Amino acid sequence: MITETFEYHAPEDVQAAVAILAEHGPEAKVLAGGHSLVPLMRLRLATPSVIVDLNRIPQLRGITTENGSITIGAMTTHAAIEHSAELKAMLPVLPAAAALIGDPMVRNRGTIGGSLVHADPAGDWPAVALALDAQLQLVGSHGETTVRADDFFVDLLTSAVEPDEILTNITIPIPTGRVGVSYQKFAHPASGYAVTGVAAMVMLDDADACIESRIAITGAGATAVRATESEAMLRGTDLNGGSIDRAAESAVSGIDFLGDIYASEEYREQLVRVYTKRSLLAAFRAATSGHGAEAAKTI
Amino acid sequence: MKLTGNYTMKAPRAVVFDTLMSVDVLRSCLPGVEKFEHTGDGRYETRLRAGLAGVKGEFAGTITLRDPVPPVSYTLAMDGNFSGGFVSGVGSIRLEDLGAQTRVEYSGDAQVSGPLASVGQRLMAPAAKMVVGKFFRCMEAQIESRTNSASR
Ligand SMILES: Cc1cc2nc3c(=O)[nH]c(=O)nc-3n(C[C@H](O)[C@H](O)[C@H](O)COP(=O)(O)OP(=O)(O)OC[C@H]3O[C@@H](n4cnc5c(N)ncnc54)[C@H](O)[C@@H]3O)c2cc1C
Repeated sequence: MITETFEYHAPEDVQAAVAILAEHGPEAKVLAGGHSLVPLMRLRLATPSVIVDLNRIPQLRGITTENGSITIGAMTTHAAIEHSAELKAMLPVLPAAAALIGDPMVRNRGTIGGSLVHADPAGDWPAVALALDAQLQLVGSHGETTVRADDFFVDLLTSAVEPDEILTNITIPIPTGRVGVSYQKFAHPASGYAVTGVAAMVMLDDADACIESRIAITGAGATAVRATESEAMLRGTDLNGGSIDRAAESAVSGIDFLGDIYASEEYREQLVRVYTKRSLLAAFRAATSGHGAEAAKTI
Repeated sequence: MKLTGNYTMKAPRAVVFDTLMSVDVLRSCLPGVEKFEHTGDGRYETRLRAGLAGVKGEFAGTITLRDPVPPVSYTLAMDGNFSGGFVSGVGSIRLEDLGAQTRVEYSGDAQVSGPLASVGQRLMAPAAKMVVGKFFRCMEAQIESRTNSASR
């Protein structure tokens, strides 16, 4: 089908884009890679009367590192992250996780910003952003704000971005010390979306005891969430012992599980146990081997 | 599409049941109510319009509350047009007496057709669950404000 008619704007800087959004209110929609928005428009399920295309704003693309953190422009594609030599060296879980998204066409067009703002319950970036303590910069007609990933995913398909705001950058502190990060997902065989995906970061002391960890789960409930109870259980423990098993077991608590024809609630619950364990073990291996990151998917 | 779940409210069963049957509460807690009119026998002519992620969900049809067994159970049926397609569903609602609290258990099945059902299939059940969750939270707030004003 062909979309409803809409007014098309392709501003060349962020301020101009924000001004158009402020003028038109919720009737206006931002266009990034279009991989989530355009199918909805073609079926006329979404009928925005104004489209603000961000593809001609160069400041929204690219990867920079300074002061111990990495900043990724919201319009950076999954593929650009997947192939970034800088990221492979600095924070290899990002390219590794990007490579697990959908297929090459989706990765060539889809953007990290679009994926975070859309807040799909089965999206990969939300889990990775939570595990890495990402900060999200928003620009709106009232100015700039920074939202922590922990406060960004509000509900099903609902992020903290207001209709008159644009996500501009994602900033991630580069973990230092004996740190390993992993993202492991059980992918839907058709779309590649996470039926369940678990991102884990572990920081170890010299005796392999866990100083700090962050565990984030996507695909299981309405939004990606952190498993804070499991993180607390790991603190101070030797990860060679049984603590990873116990943490994986408690990762399911507090999640209101989704169920569908492909994976029931009980099945997703079991996936969370299994993938939390795998992700923690992989992060632990990465930390002890000095490789920094691992990612894998099972279909 | 099957939908099951439960929600525990901090109110005794009789109060919860009455609230669930109250037209005013339904009118203010259903999402995006544009019309909700009793036409007899527990049937309500309804028009709802709500959105999520830029997608407009529109329902126009009848909602029927039937077979009430106060304060234990009733059946809810929904039939009508839904965002360019159709929806027809029946759910049973049971109230479990937990003393000062009540657990509302719901279990339903709906046939949904149209474009939203085809592309949105993966997200339809979670969206329905979210609507139900919001509905119960709204109801609970209404009960709270009623008991607060009554005890004043
Ligand atoms: C076949 C297929 C398979 C896929 N598989 C996966 C997968 O395995 N894992 C995964 O995570 N995802 C997957 N996706 C989703 C894909 O990653 C999309 O790219 C992503 O969800 C949305 O990004 P986008 O850039 O295409 O955004 P768009 O579709 O352009 O926009 C999505 C929404 O976000 C808003 N938006 C976008 N950017 C901004 C911004 N900077 N500021 C404010 N609002 C903004 C838009 O207004 C819109 O509401 C898949 C998609 C398809 C079609």
